[in-house]
Amino acid sequence: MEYVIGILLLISFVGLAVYAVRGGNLMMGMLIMGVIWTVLPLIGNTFATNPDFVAGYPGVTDISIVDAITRVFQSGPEGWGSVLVNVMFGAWFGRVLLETGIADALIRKAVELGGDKPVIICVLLSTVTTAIFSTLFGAGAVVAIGVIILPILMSLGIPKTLSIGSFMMSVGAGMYLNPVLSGQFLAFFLGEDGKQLITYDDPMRLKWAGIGLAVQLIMVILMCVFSLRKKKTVHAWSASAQRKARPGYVPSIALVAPVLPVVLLVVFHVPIILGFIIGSFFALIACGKLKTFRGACRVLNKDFYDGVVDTAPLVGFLLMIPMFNKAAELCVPYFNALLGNVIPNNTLVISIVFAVLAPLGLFRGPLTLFGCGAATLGILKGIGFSTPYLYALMVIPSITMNVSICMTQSWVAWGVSYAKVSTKEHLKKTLPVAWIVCAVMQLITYVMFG
Amino acid sequence: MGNYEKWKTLMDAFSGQKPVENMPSFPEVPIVQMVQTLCSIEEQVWGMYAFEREPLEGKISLGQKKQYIKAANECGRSWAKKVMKEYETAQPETIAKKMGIAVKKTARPIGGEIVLFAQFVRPNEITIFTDCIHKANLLEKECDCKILQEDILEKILLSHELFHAVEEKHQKEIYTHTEKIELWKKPFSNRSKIVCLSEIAAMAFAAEIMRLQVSPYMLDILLTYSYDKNAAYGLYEEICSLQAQFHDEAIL
Repeated sequence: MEYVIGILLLISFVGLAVYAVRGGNLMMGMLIMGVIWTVLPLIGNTFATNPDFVAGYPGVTDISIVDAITRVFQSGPEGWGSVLVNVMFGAWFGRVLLETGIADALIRKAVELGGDKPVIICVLLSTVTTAIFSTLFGAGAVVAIGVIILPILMSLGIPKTLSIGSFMMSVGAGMYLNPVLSGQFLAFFLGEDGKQLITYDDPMRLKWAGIGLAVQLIMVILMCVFSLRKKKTVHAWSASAQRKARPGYVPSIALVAPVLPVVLLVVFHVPIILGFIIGSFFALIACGKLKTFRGACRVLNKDFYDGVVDTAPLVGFLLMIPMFNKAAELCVPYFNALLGNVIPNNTLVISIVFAVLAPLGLFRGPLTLFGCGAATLGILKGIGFSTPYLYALMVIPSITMNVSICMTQSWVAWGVSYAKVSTKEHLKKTLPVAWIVCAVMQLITYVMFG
Repeated sequence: MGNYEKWKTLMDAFSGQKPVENMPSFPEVPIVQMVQTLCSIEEQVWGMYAFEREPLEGKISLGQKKQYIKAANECGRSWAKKVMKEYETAQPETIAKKMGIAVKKTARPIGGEIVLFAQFVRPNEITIFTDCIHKANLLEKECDCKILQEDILEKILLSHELFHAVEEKHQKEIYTHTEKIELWKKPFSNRSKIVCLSEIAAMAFAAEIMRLQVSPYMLDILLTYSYDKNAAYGLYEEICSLQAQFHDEAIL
């Protein structure tokens, strides 16, 4: 019976992959998969006759229907609540950086240092973008920064594919350290009691994330240097949108605001939400936006509202993922029965397989946690790898392939459309670089956690 | 919008497939009135419009900008005269041929925010995007603006890009490449070109070759109009505001 259920689960997994690749709505996809992966193991549990199989997974194979549906459809999304709260505060902080003009000023300073040298500009803007997105999160923030940076890159004659590729991959580099995105990944690793098995400020995880940021940023810089060495630059006559009014004077001290929450968290162990609050108030005070109490209330209200609106499109999807994750836990015995002897339990082999198959993190494939990788994680968890290793293993393709270059990522799709670059051109430019980043990071992961 | 589209839009929004974009709405202006106003905008104002898009804009004072705009326009005109004399023709296609420039024509898919009209790729390739020309031709029937006529518009776009080819050929002597500003503090040095000067000069170059009485910069707005009326109204509002500022300063 366990094999029949295992095969049906695998078929549904392939079905999700096909659905995701064809651009199906993932929120609905996750909900349907959550239902299928709850019903199938429950049927299997009812008819399982192998006593070893039933005894091997206490709390899973003998779970009652009420407990199972409560765990999947109630506890799952509830457990994601803490992540959502972080997302909201992060979005507010992002909106503050945009409204005060700090993000704009940082970019201008970088451009004024680089001048007309495309290579220097690319390097400086990639570094600044990475620094900004080590804290900022959300499609709204990426679009707001993109509409400043992309016209600058293109006005300097930097090819559109390189402009989009370097910008999006720099955003992705920052995401390795981003507390909001990391929180979403960390929520995949909850214990039976709902507590996190690995935390953001875990020293080894933090070190690994810092290395991930550096590796991806260095590869972006090398991509820029390599691509611009031929000097095949472009002068395009194009019309852009109306120039927005500058938000006002930004003192130099305010420019440290983007990295403040992460620095407070890493160095002083200040919780990230407090870090966002301190960072936001610091930015508002430094830029002279909190002169009166009434004015302060108005600014605070507006920025929080705008920030939450920025992230609203993600919320539905984020709340379906934990249902799918929890359902995947019910399926572990069946995947193990079917694949336990097929999937190697050697970390070196797994790392090599993940490095070679890294592009499967694209198009919501089986190697991204924002796609059907959530099920892959469920299978790998059953084999018994350590949590830090599994975390790093799955996060690499999720960030470098999915978040950084995949067309199914909302802001990447926006950028590609904004600059009128075809998907093929975009992937041709970025995929080789992203693949190398994945391979290097899998090697580092094996050395650190394997 | 049908039920399916409504449902899909809702689901896309919730699943994060489309980012939130807040594009403000600008007041509508009849196209005929828009053309009349744009024809009367001075060269200096178009220069300020170009500087609004200059990455190093914050490093340059208003007085310097005015001098740069004047010099860039003169540069464009004088190089147009030199080129016409050197190649003994005012036909941009012939000049391109004699300069060894490959001119390609490609229709461009619609969609996305940046509307491309033409481009020059180093060292010797110009591409004209015909989609905008066909659209402009339809618009010309509405507003009777001669520079939107298919053959004239194509020549203007080509002339503009030809200036970039001239820049490429005469890098060491042309004003738009030799004029630089210092960006770093001593003892370090990073001297940079001012990118928008190339665009200002390219417009003057195209106007001189085509003997235009108006600035080709107005095509920024008119060609955008065919793709996104609201974006064109936004650009129109910006240039009108710059024109008003220019007159206020002149009065003061």
